[in-house]
Amino acid sequence: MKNDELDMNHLDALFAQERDALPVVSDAFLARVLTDAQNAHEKPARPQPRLQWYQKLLAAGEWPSMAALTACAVFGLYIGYSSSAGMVLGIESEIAQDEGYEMDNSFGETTLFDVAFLENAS
Amino acid sequence: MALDSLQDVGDDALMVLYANGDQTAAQSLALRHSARMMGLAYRMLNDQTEAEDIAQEALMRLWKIAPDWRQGEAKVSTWLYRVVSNMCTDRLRRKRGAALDDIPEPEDDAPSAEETLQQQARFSKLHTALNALPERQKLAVSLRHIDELSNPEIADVMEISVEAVESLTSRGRRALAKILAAEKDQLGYTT
Repeated sequence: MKNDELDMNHLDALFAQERDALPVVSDAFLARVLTDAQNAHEKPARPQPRLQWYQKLLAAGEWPSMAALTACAVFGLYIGYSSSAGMVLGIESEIAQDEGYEMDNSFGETTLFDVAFLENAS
Repeated sequence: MALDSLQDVGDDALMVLYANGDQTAAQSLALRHSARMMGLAYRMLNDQTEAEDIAQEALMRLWKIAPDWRQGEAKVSTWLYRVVSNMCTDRLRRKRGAALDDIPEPEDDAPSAEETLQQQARFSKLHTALNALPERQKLAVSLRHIDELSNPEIADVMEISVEAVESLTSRGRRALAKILAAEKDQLGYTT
């Protein structure tokens, strides 16, 4: 042990003394803490989760409103699909009337296929 | 003081019981942990009223987290030590700021030097020596040697590595031994 230091055993004895001298918890303190515990339990710790749109709808009008909304959505999809299909067909027929198609004959008679075919044949 | 009526029940189970509305579980938790939390806060801040405030606030946070408490993940005591440590650190930092900027000039009716010495004499030699240590050393030494937490637990509380805890406690111990060397006679350690 160095002269300028307290013996570590003595230091440990001081720690032990400190450990044994825990503060006394007063009844007033305990009462405050238990009141807090009661209040904290009465208030919800977390905000309630927000309702989903369908939960709101169900809450507002139960299942008939849900069924009505579904029917409207399906009908709307049907109308949208049927009219757009007709429109596409109409456009295609107009294009067909206005333009003709021609065969692309730019390769002529000397394409590689033709040469190979002629070689095999001979 | 009231007795812990659920002394055989573990802390995790008490948290579940409290979350389900059992107030005796809250009482048991408070009785088990208040004194240690208050003791740590007192050693850190040297103020009994503040120590009580901090212990109360730490328990309040425990009540609030109870419904979300995950059993087996953290010990209630370690969790509380962390909350108390952080709150003490915050208060010490605020005080340090106030010490630099806001301390009023001494007034005529302020305690005399003699009264201040008397007041200081009320604290144990160890408290006085602990208060001479840097904040982190003081916390690590208190948790290790007075609250008897293991090094990994202290690492968890202080959110540092185990090696850093070892270094802090070892330097803290040596510093305390040096500070208290001058008090050997008064402490009754003459050899």
